[in-house]
Amino acid sequence: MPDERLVVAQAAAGDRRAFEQIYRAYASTLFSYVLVPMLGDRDDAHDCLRETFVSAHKHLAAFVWQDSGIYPWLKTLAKNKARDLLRASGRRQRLRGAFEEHLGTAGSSEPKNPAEEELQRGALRVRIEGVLEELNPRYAQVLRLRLLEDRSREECATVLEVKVGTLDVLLFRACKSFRAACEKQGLMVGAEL
Amino acid sequence: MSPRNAEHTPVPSRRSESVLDPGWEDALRAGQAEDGGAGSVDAELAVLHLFRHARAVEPLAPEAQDHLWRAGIAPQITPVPWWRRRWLWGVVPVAATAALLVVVLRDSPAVDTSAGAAEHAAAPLIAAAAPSPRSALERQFAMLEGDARRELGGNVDRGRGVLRSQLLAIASKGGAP
Repeated sequence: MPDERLVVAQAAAGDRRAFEQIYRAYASTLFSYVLVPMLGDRDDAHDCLRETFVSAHKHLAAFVWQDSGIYPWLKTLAKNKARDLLRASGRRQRLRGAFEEHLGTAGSSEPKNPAEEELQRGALRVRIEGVLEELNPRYAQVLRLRLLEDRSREECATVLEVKVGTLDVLLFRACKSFRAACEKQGLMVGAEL
Repeated sequence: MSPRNAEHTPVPSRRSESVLDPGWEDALRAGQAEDGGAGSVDAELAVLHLFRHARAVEPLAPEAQDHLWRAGIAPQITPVPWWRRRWLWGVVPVAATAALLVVVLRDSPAVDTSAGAAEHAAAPLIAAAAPSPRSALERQFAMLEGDARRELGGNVDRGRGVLRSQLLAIASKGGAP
């Protein structure tokens, strides 16, 4: 965001338009790269996004400017809101969406802006490919075809020369195997918070 | 999510807003059952979620972003004008009543040391430890009653004097009234 420091100062002084600029600049990144990966649910992510910015507006006067800008501060707020929601909603959701907590290990460092979030997603794909290399080739293939290439069940079954029912078994076993391989490499998927 | 992901029959009552189509969970459960297993497939769903995020992020639609600002955030961060604050409508009537009571009680006969105090003291002592609107009104009536009677008496005296002087004037001229 151009002149971010000035915009943040104006927003902290009570300028609602400046605060809206901050929202427009970072809401979609927080939603797509932080809240959805943590929560796995659009409605929950919307709720947390709203709470994040209401809280940011309330505490903006306490924000101390840093070279990395306001995004890391907003991200911390968003993560805290998501953790609160996950704790309140129970184990099932923790398992469903907790991988975002460990995405930092996929890249070199914690992303400080939207561009770095996208870079980290690229690093995550590289890391996933690395884990897939260690799997049983058929498990790796079903995960690639079905999840990364987005092919239909029937297509996947044809390519793998199995029935659709057998494909489901393969997918289930492949997910279990992938998770175990991730844990060996220190990439926790679905760990409790 | 692309239409290809929606190939399984969706289950609307279950996690309708999950970013993963419910069909994925159905496929995992079917695979688990075929494999002779049972129980939760949450850990496997987390793997699916990770892959789907790596493939493409879930976008925040511009309409959803606008709606969230207009309906969710802006109303909460915009200060409410003082005349639209809800608590005002409760506090103002209470404060006005309290102010009225203070005025009434301050001018009560019990503390009045003016010339009319004796007359006021003749009024029934209604002041109680806990004043009610009725007692306050009665007290004020008692105060006003004394002043009103004095004014009425004065008016009668003045009228009588005027009438007497007119009669004397007529009599001195030898006329009949």
